Amino acid sequence: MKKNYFYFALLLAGVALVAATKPFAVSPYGFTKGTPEIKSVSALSFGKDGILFIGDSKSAAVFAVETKDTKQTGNAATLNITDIDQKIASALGTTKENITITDMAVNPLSQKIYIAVQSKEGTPVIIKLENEKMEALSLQDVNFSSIALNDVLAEDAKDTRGRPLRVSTISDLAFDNGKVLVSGLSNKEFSSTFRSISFPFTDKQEQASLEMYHAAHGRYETTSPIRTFTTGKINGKDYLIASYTCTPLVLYPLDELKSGMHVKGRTVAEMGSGNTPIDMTTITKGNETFLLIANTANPLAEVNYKNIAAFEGTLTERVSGTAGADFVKLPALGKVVQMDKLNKSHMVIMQKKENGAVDLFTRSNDAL
Amino acid sequence: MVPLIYLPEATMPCKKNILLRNSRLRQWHNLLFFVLTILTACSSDQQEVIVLFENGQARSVRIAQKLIQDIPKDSVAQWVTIRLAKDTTATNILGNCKLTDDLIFTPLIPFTTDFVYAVFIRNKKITEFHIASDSKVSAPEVLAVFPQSDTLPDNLLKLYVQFSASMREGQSQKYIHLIKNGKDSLQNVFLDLQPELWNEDRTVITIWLDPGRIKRDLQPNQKLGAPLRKGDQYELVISPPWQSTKGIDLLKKYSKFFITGNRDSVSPNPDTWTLDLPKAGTKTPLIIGFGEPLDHFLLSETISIRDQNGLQIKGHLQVIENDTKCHFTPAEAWAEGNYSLNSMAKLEDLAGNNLNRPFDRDITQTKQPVTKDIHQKRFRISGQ
Repeated sequence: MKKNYFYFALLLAGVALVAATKPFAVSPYGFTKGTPEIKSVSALSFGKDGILFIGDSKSAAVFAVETKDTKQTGNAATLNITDIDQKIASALGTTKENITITDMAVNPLSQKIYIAVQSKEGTPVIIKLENEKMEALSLQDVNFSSIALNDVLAEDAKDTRGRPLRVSTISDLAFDNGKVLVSGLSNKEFSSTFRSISFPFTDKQEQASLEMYHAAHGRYETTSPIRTFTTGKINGKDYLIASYTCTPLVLYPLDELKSGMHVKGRTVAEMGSGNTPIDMTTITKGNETFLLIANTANPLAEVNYKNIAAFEGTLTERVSGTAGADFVKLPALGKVVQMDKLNKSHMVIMQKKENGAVDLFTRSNDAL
Repeated sequence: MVPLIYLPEATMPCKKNILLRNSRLRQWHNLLFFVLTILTACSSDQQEVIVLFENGQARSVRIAQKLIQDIPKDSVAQWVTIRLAKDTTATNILGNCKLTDDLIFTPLIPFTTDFVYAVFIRNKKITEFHIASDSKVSAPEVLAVFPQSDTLPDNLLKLYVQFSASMREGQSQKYIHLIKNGKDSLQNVFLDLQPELWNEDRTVITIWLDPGRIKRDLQPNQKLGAPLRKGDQYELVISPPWQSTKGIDLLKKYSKFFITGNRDSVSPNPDTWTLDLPKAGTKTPLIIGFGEPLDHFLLSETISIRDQNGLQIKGHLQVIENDTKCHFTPAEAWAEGNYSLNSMAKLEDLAGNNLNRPFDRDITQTKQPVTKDIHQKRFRISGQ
């Protein structure tokens, strides 16, 4: 009997030891629980399982946050919210002049809309929209991980106190095929940085810092910062479709984007003068795929992927107006400031009206 | 309206009263006001709402226990709400409630200066409070515009504007203008870039002239031409009421006048830079001459002096003579030996040509771009 007690006590001790040494389940994404110190929200993008990627330019980092917003929705209700900027401002206790909407992303599972906002003194906020109801995305005691956007020359690019000298602004962010893709702008040098970061983040960073060139009319080779990008399949091959601050739309095969490479892209279109592309996404209508491009000056532009695929060369001749692959301007959708796919059949769009008000609405892809 | 109590700084560690600060007279005034208000509040059983400041911002509001004592603790966040006083849509401000004895409500963003807010308890307005501006915060000014030269290449790529205080983002298109030959305000010359490019404390903004117009043969260049033309006179104007992050308007208009010279399509070449070498045993500065102005902020970040083992020499680098030269003063006297001037490839001139490649390369005319990260220029310090 005594021997049984002894074994029982030993078993208990063993259980206690296991419990003490492995108190929590390991997160499949390598998350830890806490409050991420996010200084700015420049870009938002959703990954799988309700994980929200937050591009923080001021911290030069990307945060992955578990939103726990994982309840799958069939088709979200259509929305038509006028003066969304003022409504957000009121919920923040101010007026629209005192806030800036910096990005918008839809959780593909719940189809809820997440809007990044910055107050005039710089405080970042993420608002979650459920139908027309707004609530704040709490970042207190959440599961998260982060990765610093280190530069290749990080050692030389620090001052005597070890602070990074250059400020990288995240111009766009996307999650694609297990990788977080980040394009960056520097406040100093005029160049393009593009990183492909494996997720879950690891201590060993697998970042690709690329030098990407595109050609103008087959004569001038140039590099420039990427303003916005998306990914898409053209003729069965995965491409990065990047739009530059100097307006060209450029294709890069994703499998050629490797660290330290001098990669030359294929310019397939120019999007017009006095205009800067600000957002891009890919949608389907029936059996066809289209690229949508929001612009600072021009209305929403739509390019059929077939036209991109058919445009084999880089621009070789001087042409008036826009050039390259054919695209269609959607005049009813001028001044689109934010957009994302709500689901397979609908878009959610934020548009600045003539009177200066910003409206948010959903629109069927077929009605675009 | 119930009286508000603004606590003197001394009574509230880490929290600031933005209204009355610092001067001894004001402290006494604060104390007197505080005591009188307490007495008034106690005698008439009136309510108390206190605005709490952090780093000069109205960060939260404290609502006294006696106002909320009949509300169950687990329902306080539901029944005690703050709204804009002018709000007509019954929109409650989003924020966090912390209940100690009193309730502290912290909105997601700080309360806005000069706005009036209303406190609602059980959907009934019980008081309002006003966020006063801090009279001690001075108006922001433009300290400098880089490049500082008054003659600039006609393919100038970027400008830096340095302010005395953190400025509000997203406003540059509204308040920065370029006037040509004293009369024409130019349109579409600056890149409309959102987010804008600021340094970390938002005191320096980088403005790009539209690169699509500068790059040869791109469609914007063909249609609109380059933003600047050789031989013209320009005035860059930065004007009020651009506000600082603390809501104060720019003090006055700032103008930088310049004329445009030749196009610069050539990469800076360290081989052509001049070195004025000091003698060993002295702390005399090494003077590096570039033969042209280079990017002011990149210069101070991209140049280092290394010994023959590649170790960085500690010292102070000073950019001088309108960014055409640098002084490097070592922390310790120069030792006799071999050194190198290391320049990172990303160092640019005023037209965006960096050490590896020009801004736009004519592939029919120029050689393949260099791809090295660091350019080294070797020199020797001797005692002679």
